[in-house]
Amino acid sequence: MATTTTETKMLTLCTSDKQQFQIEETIALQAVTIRNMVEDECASNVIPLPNVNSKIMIQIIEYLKKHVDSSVSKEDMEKFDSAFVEKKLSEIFDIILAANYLNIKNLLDICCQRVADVMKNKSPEWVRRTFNIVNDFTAEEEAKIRKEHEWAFEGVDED
Amino acid sequence: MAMFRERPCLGICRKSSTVDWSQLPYDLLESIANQLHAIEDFLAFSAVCHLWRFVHLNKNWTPKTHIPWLVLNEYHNSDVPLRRIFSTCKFKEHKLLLPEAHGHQIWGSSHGWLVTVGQDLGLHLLNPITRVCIDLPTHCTLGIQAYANVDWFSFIRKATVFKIQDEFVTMAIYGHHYSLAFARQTDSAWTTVQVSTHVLFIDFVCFNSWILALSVVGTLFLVEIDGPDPPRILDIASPPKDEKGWQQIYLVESSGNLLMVFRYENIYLPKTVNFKVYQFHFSTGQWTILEDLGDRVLFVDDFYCTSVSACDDFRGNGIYFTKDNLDFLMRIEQNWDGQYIGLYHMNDDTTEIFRLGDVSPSCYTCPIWLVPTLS
Repeated sequence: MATTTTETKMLTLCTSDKQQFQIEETIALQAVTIRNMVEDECASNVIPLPNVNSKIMIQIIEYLKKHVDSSVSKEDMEKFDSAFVEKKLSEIFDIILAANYLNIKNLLDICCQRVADVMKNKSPEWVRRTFNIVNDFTAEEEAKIRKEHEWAFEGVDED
Repeated sequence: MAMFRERPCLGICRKSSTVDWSQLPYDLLESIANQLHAIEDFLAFSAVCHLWRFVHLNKNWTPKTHIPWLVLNEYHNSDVPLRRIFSTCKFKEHKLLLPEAHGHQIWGSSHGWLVTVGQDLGLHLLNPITRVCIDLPTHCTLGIQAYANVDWFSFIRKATVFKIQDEFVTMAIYGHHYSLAFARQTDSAWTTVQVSTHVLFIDFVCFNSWILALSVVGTLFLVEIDGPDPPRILDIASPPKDEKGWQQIYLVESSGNLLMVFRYENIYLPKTVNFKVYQFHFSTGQWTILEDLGDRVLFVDDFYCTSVSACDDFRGNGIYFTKDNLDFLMRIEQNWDGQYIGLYHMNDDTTEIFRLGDVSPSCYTCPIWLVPTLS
């Protein structure tokens, strides 16, 4: 019996550190930026992604591979997503930038949600420390901001 | 207690970040802020640094879900009147300095506004967070002179604010005949809605920029606020035939559907509350029963009802309700067990009650839902 094989169309993505990733087109096209490049025929065999490094690309491909699979139930997909974002904040930062550049909305949303979840019930001081942010308010400005909605800062988690 | 979902533990990856988060482009910062549903969390976010504060100052905080607060009674702390607010999102109480609403009757809304009426019958909109206060047209334009001995406390039966085509419209049910009136943001007088037959109104809702009103017997009306003057009112549907003897009825807009909620309760046993929900079909003019709310959560009280999609803090398919019958409280003062939030689970007809601390009935005001906003 003859077997029919459908040829799977592949795309090659080239990251900022010149690593090449060969992936199925259906997987890659979930990224709107890549889809636009393919549709506009700007892309030859190799699609350059100068804003994404290979370390982040591996993780994004893992995400896209799961999300292209229509057999995964909604519940399992949610489980995958919540496990996927359990990463260091510095990695989440890079994935947010990459997901924004590649235009993968759901990935961007779950990463932003992850960052927001870390901030819940926390004081501004705790957020500054955790996210390496310099307090650029003067003491007067800060006191004024606190006083304006004093009630909101009461009873947050202990630092 | 199973009322609220336990927060997921995110502890393992909370080590301080080595990247410079202040380099994050502004629109991504906005996306993060918009994943914060609780106003308390957003206020902390906007107190981090100047750049993050811009999200607040530019009014770019527009989260998908706004979780309502429950506004409770006043509370005196060394003679300073504070308003008790229960944040359902945080499941904790705040006390807000709110002298503008001291001793006033208040009603809730979406869009952050309380409608307030004072003993002088002065009507205002008040945002309890920003404390912005807007005057509403005088009560005199409601034809109040027709009533002798107006009781300020019960003259306005209920009021709320809708946003119609970017304009705030305040709706009220008032007077002995439970009549309808509305005032747009720019109006200098109330417009009263005339009805040819005697109809007592009990609720209203804004649905797709239409105002729909409900009579005490459950008839649904369309109020043409942009039509001819005086505005007309059209009878569009009778109530579902199977529902009899309900305690209260509510209209709720929920994810693009119009719902009517029937509340049944044994008044001597507050834990025996149950609800029936119907969905209206505009094509057939019929109500059909809804057994499941899916991922929606309803918040109902006698004054303002709203609906949100389930999120981390709230499971779907439930109805949050609150103690809201002042007349009844007066009658059974002896047995009263304080204010509470109840949660009715649609899937198994069970009710959970969460008490909100002791308050003596003498300083009681009806708890009301309010969707807090910063703008």
